[in-house]
Amino acid sequence: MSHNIKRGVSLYSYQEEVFLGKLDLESAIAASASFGANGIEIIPEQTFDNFPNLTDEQVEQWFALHAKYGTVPTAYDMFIDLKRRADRLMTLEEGVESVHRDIDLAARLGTKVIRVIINTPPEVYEHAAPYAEEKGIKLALEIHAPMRYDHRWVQQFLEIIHRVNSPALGLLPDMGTFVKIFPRVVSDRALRDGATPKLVDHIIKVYNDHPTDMHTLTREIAWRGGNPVDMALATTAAGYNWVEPSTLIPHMPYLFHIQAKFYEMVDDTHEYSIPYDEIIPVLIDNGYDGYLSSEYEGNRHIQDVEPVDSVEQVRRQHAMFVTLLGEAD
Amino acid sequence: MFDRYIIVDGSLRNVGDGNPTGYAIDTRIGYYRGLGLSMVDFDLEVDGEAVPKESITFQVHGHDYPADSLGDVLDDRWGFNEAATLIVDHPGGLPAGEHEVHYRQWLRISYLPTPSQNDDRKVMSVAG
Repeated sequence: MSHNIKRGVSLYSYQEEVFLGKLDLESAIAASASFGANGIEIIPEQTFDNFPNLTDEQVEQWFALHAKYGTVPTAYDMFIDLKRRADRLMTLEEGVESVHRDIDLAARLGTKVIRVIINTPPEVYEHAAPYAEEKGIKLALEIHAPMRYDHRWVQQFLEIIHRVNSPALGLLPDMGTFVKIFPRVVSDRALRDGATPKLVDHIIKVYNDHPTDMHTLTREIAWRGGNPVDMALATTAAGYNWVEPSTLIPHMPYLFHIQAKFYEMVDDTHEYSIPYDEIIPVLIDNGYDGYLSSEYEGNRHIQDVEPVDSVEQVRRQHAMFVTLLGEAD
Repeated sequence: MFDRYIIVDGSLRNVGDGNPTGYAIDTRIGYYRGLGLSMVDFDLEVDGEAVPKESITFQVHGHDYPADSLGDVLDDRWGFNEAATLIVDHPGGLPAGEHEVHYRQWLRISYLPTPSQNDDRKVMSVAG
């Protein structure tokens, strides 16, 4: 079946090597282009230490890199520092001002989609819509585990999206909502940090059964004598999520971008915990035409025992995408 | 998530020409993006002794802030790629040899229910 799904990567994926000075913006873009991850998603607050005061020269350099490597800017990951002050939360006006700042910067950087972080107040999201529309920028609410489409918090945004009916308002699913098998890089790290093997096995087994009451697991682990590492692992497990990929279908007209979260590419065909072979056919069959933007999040779980090779992990994910998207045919 | 890297290894040194006025270490933000300084808090122990907050200056890209008033700084940020130097007022500096530095950092990240804590401990040498 033909489709118009495009491949890209979020620079989030390379955070370990960038933090350690082993990769810079140019080498990260060059590596991505080498395996066809041509859509580049950026976290300006990571890339630019002088955020939000980017110079024209920095912006020119950003576009020059895309011209050099044949890549394009895709999405801009924004944050809203509601707790910037210790004594009070941001007001509605301050929140909208923060999003307007991001809309202006997204327009300068050529990123047509802004990833609206999940803690953004729904009223801020709604009030920012007219300016986004005026600037031709889309505000895509991130659907991130453990949030699901049927949760109250998300329902408030869906109500706004349907009622306001602005071309600027939509969604950005993070594929971390489709963790079918508990990521072993996470449980292995817990074991190295002192978790109890029997309880780790139990946590994995409970998670992989996808019960509807995952939130009770932390208490159960406490009652079974769990130590702090066991408790933390149970809490982590309750923060993951598996729902059927078909859950996306009713929201398909509103999907602006997808963060293709992953924890461990075992080889060129298989992610350990997220079944992309079940997800991608749903996207193809239902006409998704945005990016699959890699978001590697395994680094923090393996950095204590092995050098992190984010580029190789992302390369493998793209080898898998090439197959699943039928690009190899 | 970057606990193990938040103390820049080997960065402990005495500061001040001739007779040291104190010592310094370089630190990194334990997060995947930069953050406004008002959302950053930390504490420091050297050789098991807490270092008084009022004796520490937090320095980032050439700007100096008293560590105990970082929470009031609303117009500057600590970048993801930048080291911040903690300069401790400690006449005479540290004696030559090995010292254990314990640095804990709390980041008030708005999408998390409680501040994110990073914790690092490194033994570093001060030159004689």
